[in-house]
Amino acid sequence: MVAKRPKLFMMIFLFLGSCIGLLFGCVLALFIGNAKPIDRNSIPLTPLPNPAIRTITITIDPDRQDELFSQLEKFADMWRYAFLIAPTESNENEYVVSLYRIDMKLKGSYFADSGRLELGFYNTNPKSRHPQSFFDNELKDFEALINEIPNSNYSVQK
Amino acid sequence: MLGVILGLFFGYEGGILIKTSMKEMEQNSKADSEYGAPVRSITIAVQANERELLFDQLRRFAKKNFFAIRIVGFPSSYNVEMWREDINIGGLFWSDSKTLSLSFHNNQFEQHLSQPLPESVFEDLMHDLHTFIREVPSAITTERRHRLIITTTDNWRNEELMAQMKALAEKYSLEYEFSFYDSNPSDNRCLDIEILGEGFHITTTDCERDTIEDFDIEFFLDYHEGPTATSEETLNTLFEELKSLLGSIDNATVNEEP
Repeated sequence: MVAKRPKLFMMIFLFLGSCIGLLFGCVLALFIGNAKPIDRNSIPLTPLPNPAIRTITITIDPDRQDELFSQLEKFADMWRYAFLIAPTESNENEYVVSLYRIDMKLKGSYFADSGRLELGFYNTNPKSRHPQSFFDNELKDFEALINEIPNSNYSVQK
Repeated sequence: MLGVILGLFFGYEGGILIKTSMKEMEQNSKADSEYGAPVRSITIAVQANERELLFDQLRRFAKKNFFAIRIVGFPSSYNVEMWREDINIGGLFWSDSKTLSLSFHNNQFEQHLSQPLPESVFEDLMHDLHTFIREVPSAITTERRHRLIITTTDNWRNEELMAQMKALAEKYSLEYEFSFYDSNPSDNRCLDIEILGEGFHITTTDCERDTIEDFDIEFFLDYHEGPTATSEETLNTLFEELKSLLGSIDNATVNEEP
């Protein structure tokens, strides 16, 4: 049989030999081999980039600032975000706006003189890759709340 | 034979690759867990009628320090979370004990492992929080400064632990208390040991007395008007001494945790 089909049997032996060698080699390495040194320099020194998944711009009549803040707070309650609106230390005209949750966050600034709010909508963890539909679902509610403010203008950029 | 040699070569290289990946994963996981551990932990006890005042003070503290805050109620507790780019603070207020536990963490999503925040940032925040908390008349604040996790492979711990802690208390003329309790009073399965000093206390609770589970000893500073240098210094001395005493016991591993 072997003499009749030498190539076939040679291939079979080669394959079987490789499998046995692979198995033994792997076990040998796991038991007695030394792991390669880990290059600490491969860890980047700066935080991972975390680009906004959506950028939202809202313009209102500056006299309706309190209504805007109230609608932002309603949105935060609705979607269980920790919430902050506070004037910046450097400029009384500018307010920090932050909505934080373990998975997603909105961060930006409101400019009191122009009635303009600019927000970025991000993954909280830069390594996360939540589906874009998660962001869009929440933004539907956000848009509805903003549209309750007369003469407001809402736009989203992807 | 050629197959075996080739297989051995690639198998060995593959095994080394697997081992290296496992080592890297282990190191990353260790670094992540160390980074995610609280940098500071405090407990604030108030009277029931001052809970909302405490929450208002937390909101004021958050606004002043640019933290986004959310306080949400559940049937038996309230969840408190505060977020900022560099730090997040998490906590629970237990309605039955009227006690709020808060812990300060590096915001691991935005602060990179290689650039941990200086301790002074946490110090300043703690100091500022205390100024807000002081506005709540009934508030009693304690801060956990040290924690020892004791792992044993032997069921030695009740007698040894009580003996070592009692000896320490006697050496420094401190009040030593121990008691047994349980949710079912007839069982009394839990052991509670406390060493009480001026401006600090040390406590350990063990409810698994017949097993060889880990247990921990916690060292707290008690804030009245603020911790004194003496109480801080004494607590640090006691911590080092107890760590050394427990570390000398056979079959016990003592680990320090934040």
